[in-house]
Amino acid sequence: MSVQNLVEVQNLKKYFPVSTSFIEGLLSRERLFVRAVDDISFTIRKGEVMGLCGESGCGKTTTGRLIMRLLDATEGSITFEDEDITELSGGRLRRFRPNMQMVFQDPHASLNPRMTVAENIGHSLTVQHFGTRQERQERINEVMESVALTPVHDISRRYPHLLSGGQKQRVVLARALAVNPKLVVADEPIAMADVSVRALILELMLKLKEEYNLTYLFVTHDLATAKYVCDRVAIMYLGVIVEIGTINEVFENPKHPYTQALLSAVPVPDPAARRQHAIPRGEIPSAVNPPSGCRFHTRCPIADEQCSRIVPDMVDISPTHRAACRLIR
Amino acid sequence: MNDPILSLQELSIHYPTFDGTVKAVDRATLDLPTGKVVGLVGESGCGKSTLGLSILRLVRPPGGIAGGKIVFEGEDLVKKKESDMRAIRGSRIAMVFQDPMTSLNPLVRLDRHFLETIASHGNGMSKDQAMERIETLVERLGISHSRLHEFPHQLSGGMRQRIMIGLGLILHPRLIIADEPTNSLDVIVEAHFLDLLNDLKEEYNLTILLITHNMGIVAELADRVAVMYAGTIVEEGDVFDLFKNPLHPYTQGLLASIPNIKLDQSSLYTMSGSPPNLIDPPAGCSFHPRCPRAMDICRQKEPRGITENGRRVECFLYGEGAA
Repeated sequence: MSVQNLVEVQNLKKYFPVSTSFIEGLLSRERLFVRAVDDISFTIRKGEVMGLCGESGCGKTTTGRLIMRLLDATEGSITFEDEDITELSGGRLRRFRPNMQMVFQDPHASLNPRMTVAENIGHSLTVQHFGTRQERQERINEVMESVALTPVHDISRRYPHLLSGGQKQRVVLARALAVNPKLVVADEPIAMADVSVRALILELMLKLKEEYNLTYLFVTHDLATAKYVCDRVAIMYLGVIVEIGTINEVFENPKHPYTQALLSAVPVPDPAARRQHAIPRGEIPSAVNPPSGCRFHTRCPIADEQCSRIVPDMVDISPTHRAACRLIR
Repeated sequence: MNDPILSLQELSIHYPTFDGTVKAVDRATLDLPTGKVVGLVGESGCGKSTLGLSILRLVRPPGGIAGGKIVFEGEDLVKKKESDMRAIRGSRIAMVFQDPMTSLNPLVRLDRHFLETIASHGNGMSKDQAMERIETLVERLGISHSRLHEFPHQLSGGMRQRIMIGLGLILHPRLIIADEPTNSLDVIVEAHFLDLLNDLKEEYNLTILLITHNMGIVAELADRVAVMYAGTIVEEGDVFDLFKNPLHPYTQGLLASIPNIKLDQSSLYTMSGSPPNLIDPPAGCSFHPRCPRAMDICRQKEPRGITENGRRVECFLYGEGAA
């Protein structure tokens, strides 16, 4: 694996305004914002699977969408292969888009029900003015073979509702691959799939990564899956990254109390490994008015009075492992 | 093993459709031993939720019970009149659904949810008595009783789910059917909820049927596990035995295909195919088209009533017919 960075995210922020009524606007109350992503920086290296994990509402999906340029950042920058893409728009953004593709959680909702499988996969090729009609058809057949949607001539004429859940997610993967992307952002790609189909999609994604030289940003709440597919992982909490490192570093030697809590709460499919100890109480606070200081201090088992005042800096634990907690020794 | 509080015997639930009859549950047999947690696992569409609903006779028409018995504390619920069932629902058997946001009425304050539940069973409790009982229970669930005047949307997801279990417990039922109770919760909140459920089980001497697709939750909480596939219970046994030594090829495949955070897995087992159509399930064993060890007999004959070392496993690899 080369250590070259494919994507660099710097001080990225995304604030969504909370809609207020007309009268409140007249009273000119202070505008409120959901701080979905609040100053995060990380890199995605070429050829790796980078995981983005956390509970619902932590900002992991928003981060994925910001990188995909499906949302405009409030502040900060996103660099893709040394090109700043934060401000790209119009035709330049469209010409850039084939570099990055997205796989969403719900394959059924991601496919146009009135297009056949081949039309769904080929649509992005048409939009991107890829080759001749003949070349497009060949490309469609090629990616369908790659994701094992065979026999191609049969399945390519079907409509999405005639496919099983696993097949639909493979169509979505094929569509993402058709334009030859460098980065695929996968947002909970197996959350909707049946248990027996999940492993199939994961294994297929790993196979395609080698075949097409892909880099993945894998967004998930499921830490066990993250451990299986990811090379590195960033743990998010209330819009900030609290810990980042290689899978082994973060999962075997978690430093942030939140990561520790998260890992110990994961139910293990083995009754012999039943959880013995308690985990911190409480639920994720609102991102409109996040706690002062360290955002985790309200739930943290080891927080002291300083934690509510001082915003913790990222501490280097190893050259690749960092965590944002004052109390790390 | 003590007497089962609930015993399903050859229970079948069918839904007639224009395309044919969907055999959502096909001659399922399952015992729930008193005071135990039984995990019912399976993929979506395997009939596990229908099975849970059928115990309370809540399967919506045109679906209905096509045969078999549901024996609860010695009485067959299939033969009960609707009015008798109403007396059982909530007070002797309670159900906790997966989505608390749609199961609670958004226009009704929390205390009214509880009061209505108590009033509908007419056990002559005064309002003060009822309120006292509600407050004690809610505090036990870790929610301040002052919040009972709030509406469901004012609570967090975890609190709403605790209110749901509270509504289930308020009439002191013997049996709780929990259908994917933690589906909408984050892992940390989920872990708390499972801990709470475990404590309540002891305090209220409950029997719990825990319906879920998550093997991790079953491993965490259940005493026994039943694995369901295509409307049939294919394997059933003690949780430690079953996870350590799964017998049915489906159970084996399922367990080998799940990422485990405690292990370093180099690859996951991938099961071929997808679950069958329940209108026209495969002949013989319904798992045979996906089974890596299918034999001729599997395509012809249905495996029924097979046991191996005391564990029920509906597969011809075991029992007397074993090759």
